[in-house]
Amino acid sequence: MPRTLVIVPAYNEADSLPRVLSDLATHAPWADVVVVDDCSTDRTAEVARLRGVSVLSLPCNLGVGGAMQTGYLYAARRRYDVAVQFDGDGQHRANQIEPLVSTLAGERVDLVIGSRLLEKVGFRFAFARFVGSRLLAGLIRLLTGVRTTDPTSGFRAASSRAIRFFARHYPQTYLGDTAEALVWAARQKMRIREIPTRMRQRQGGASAATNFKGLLHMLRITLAVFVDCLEPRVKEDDDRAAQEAPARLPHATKEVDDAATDSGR
Amino acid sequence: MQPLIPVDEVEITLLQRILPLGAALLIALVTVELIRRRKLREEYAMLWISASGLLLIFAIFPRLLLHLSVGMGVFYLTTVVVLVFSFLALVLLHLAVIVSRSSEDVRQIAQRLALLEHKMHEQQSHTGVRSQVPMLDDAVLNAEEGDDGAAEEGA
Repeated sequence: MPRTLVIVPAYNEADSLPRVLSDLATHAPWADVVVVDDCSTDRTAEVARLRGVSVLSLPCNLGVGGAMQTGYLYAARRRYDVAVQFDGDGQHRANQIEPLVSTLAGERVDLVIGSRLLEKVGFRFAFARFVGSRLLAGLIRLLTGVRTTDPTSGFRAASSRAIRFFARHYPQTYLGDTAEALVWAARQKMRIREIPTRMRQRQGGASAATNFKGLLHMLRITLAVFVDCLEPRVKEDDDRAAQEAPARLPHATKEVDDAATDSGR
Repeated sequence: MQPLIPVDEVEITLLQRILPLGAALLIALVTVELIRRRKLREEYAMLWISASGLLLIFAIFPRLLLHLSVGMGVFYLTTVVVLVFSFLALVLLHLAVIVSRSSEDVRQIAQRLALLEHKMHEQQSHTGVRSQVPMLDDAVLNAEEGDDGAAEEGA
């Protein structure tokens, strides 16, 4: 198994986090875990620390995108080979991480998405969300040529190239970060695969994407995706230079350390 | 189109002189006071100082404005309102750009801080160096205070 970091962004997930973390410890013990506490008002950070995983505590609420990017920065600095996005609400299953990571390593792709819809595995969306998801998938295919069935799935694995890219550029759209990140990666000509995965239905709670609200979010994401395609493509070469410099020049390590995404050794 | 009365014959009342003068002075005063209290940075105050200056010029030479309106062919109050609104719209756009930029800055600072704190905790536990009084976590402190502006805005 490649060196893998599981990024768990968490906002007020103190109740579900213990179950998520023990799920990870049982079914993916070979992977490191980092919980990004997005300035929760409950004991999220404490709960995670008690479990012995790394915790990054944000001093103010940045939203999922900002939290996820913090995880990617951590992964880039510590030179992980693979980063897995994993929700803190118990929706994702730790035993599905292994197929995700082995697909990434085996097929040498940059992004593997766990799709809930690729196979009939008994996961049901709210109707509006389903329609929105389909439209969005069609749009993404039209704009980037990437075929997906579940563009808003937050369960995905990223290669070291994708880690470095997301550490620098990660979409901040509320609830739209997944679809947008997909478009950004596609526009960087990254190789993207999709594999079927199983997820749990959310046990109530604040599901932010149901019916009318879900459709509204989809519309907003659609707009964001359109805007993405108008923006100029990012040059990745600069990132790579910053990344590899400290390895060759040990004396320069300290300066590059905080200035760029770097190794924490 | 020609004005109904030649510009030089238009009578300007005292009120019409005092009102823009007062407005100009008020804007200038408020702006300077805000800078003095460090609630407004000079770079963003420039806009308001120059607006005040412009108003002052027109207050002192009211006929200048009349000549200008003849030159631009503006004789109706509605046109003036439209001009003022577009000025305000530009100001709002300017502010939106500034807000976007600073929230980007806040995001990066927050992320760096989280990574730095983690690194610090890690190094402390590796070397076994602990200060006499163990440091309290910010997260714990915030939870104890019971109020957290940033968290309320989120979600």
